[in-house]
Amino acid sequence: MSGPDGATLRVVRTGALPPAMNLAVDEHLLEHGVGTTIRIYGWEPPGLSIGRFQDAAQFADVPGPHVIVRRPTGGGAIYHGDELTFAAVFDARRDWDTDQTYVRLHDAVRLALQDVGVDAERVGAEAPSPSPRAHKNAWCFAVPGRHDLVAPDGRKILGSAQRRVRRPRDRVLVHGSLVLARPAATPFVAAVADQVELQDVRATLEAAVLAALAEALEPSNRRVELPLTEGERAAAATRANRFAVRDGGVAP
Amino acid sequence: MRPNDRQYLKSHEWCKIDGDVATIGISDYAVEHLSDLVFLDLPAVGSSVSAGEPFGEIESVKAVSDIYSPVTGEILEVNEALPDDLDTLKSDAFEAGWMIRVKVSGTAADLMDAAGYEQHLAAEQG
Repeated sequence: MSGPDGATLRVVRTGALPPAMNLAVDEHLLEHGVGTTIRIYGWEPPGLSIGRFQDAAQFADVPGPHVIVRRPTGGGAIYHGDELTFAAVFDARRDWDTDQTYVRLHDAVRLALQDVGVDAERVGAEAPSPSPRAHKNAWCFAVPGRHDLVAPDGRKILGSAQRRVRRPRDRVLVHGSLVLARPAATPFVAAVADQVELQDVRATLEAAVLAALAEALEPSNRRVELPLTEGERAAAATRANRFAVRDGGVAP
Repeated sequence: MRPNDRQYLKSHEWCKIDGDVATIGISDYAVEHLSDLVFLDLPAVGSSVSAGEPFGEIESVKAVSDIYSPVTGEILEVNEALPDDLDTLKSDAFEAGWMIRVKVSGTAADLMDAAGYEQHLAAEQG
């Protein structure tokens, strides 16, 4: 068991971990964590994550060194370069269905971006859904969909996805990738660096995103930083292989 | 009222047991709440399922959810056409939208009848 009781919100900063380990930690927190946890992390080595049902072969020739992993969450492929990644894990709540979860957490990230001088808008609910065929081969950031955060030029700046489990109790995992600098592999994304000097906002933005997510998820709970325990790391390590699609990558 | 010839889990799966064979699917409520279905992953014939454990996954636009088995047993048959025609789940979740047939060796302890499931839905919707 991990995490605090219901009156606290757990914050986990693992720094950069290998891609498969990142996903394993998040899934472990979903299935075995208690209460609400927000994890902020990076990717080392760089990772290309594909959605739960995407075809890895479609992304085999993507340039740049990276490891390909399959997320437990849905959605499209993401090249994780210089980005601010978060996982929010919490017990499902009555008025937060899949759509409302995106609306509330994306609005939180939008406010955090605003704090550091970055403009973004949330796409309305009327935006079309991707077709299943397009979805299978799609980059997460290629076409903004409903609730997505987009920069003023219309390009997507935040990618997110959810996994929901109902047993032993209803829990939700939300993955979010906020692009700081545009990866060469995905030139169509918007990035924080398009609007502000990254070095000036990097630390402030991380703190602002964390604070805004915490406010959205648990406004009255005390925030407590609790690193992963040895037991959690070991449990995650045993399931990490499940997420690996292939090691290494195509040389740049 | 949902069909009362079968039993339900709180996680919105149904199972209809005839003799020692259970037909399993998910309810119209689950389908409606998932909306915009994209992918369905079902297990292979011959594999085993355990009551209360996931046997498949379903992805709606940007959310993946597990599908849990109401029974324990061996899979006899899989609705192979369903993943390629997810609209069937929307139009007929309780008959044509069945997912797997299982030779039953045990059932989940928390199965509900249709009336119990309706009460659960009423509570979930607040």
